[in-house]
Amino acid sequence: MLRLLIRRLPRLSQLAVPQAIPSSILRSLRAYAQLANNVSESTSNAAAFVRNTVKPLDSRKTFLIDRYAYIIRNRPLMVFVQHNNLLKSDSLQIRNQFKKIGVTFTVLRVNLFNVALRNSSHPDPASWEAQQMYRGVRHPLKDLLAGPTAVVSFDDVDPQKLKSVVDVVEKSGGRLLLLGAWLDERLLDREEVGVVKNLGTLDQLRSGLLGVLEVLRGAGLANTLSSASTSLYLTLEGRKKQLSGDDDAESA
Amino acid sequence: MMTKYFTSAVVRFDPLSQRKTARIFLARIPPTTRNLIKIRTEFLGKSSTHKPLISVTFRDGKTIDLDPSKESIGDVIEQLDRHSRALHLQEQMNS
Repeated sequence: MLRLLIRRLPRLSQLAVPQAIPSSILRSLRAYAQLANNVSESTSNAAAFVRNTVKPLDSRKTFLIDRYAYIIRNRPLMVFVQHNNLLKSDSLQIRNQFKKIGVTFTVLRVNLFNVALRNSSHPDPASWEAQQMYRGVRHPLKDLLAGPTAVVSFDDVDPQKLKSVVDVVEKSGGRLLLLGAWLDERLLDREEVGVVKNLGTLDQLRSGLLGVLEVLRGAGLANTLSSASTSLYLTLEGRKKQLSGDDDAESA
Repeated sequence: MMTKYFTSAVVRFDPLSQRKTARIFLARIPPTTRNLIKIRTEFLGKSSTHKPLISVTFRDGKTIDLDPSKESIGDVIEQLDRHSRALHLQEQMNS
């Protein structure tokens, strides 16, 4: 619109007062119009890189879909809870408890979270293209997301943390209810969450496995498995000693 | 929803059922009545054989049982409010 107006401006001025305007002003007007034309063309080139989102780019819906997609992609463990009518003071208290554990409590807008889930494998989950591509696809987590739902997201899979989160939920006196969890692309129901929270950390599990192997095979299997790394260590250590021995010889 | 005449409620539901009636019912109970209404929540899993249930006991001792997997939250509230209104009317007549 503006571009058209600017283009027409010289002609309009010619029509209105043909004799009154000196040609130098007309020329500068035309130059300005040309410049404006160029600028608007270059911005339309830039517009090709602007995201083509379903909702306006600066809208809250687009922002929330992006945020949820970030959580879905980057958090290995998410626990879903129902929140029942939290008062401001309850909400603050609960958030503080979760902050102490080191996890994030996010109250969800369920429909937008569903969109983010469905489109999370697309580079831009809020875009038209993603909407067209994943239309009618049903994510297994969708079953959990009905009614007032919040997500507790973990930076790492730590059963100890999970246990303290479940404790907070259970001690909330009906304010929060545990629904299920999402771990390793798998939906866990309440019973499975109960099993996972009592597991040790990954390191503990590994050492436990080693213990079992040693008991079963009389240390033979564990020795065989570790022989490659042990021999590498010995070789390197020998080479190191050799080198430092050379150094000593030189300095002496 | 009129929760003034509730004394206790039992809500039993499956979180994975995709039905939100029971969950919305729980969220509709005001936080100020938390000490007045005893709410028991039970969860159904893969192995459980019970059916989903919303069971509300009123001040006059009447209990209304509803199935949240078949009824919408609007229907549930309507049926509960019907008895609550009767109790309210009675209370006003007596006073």
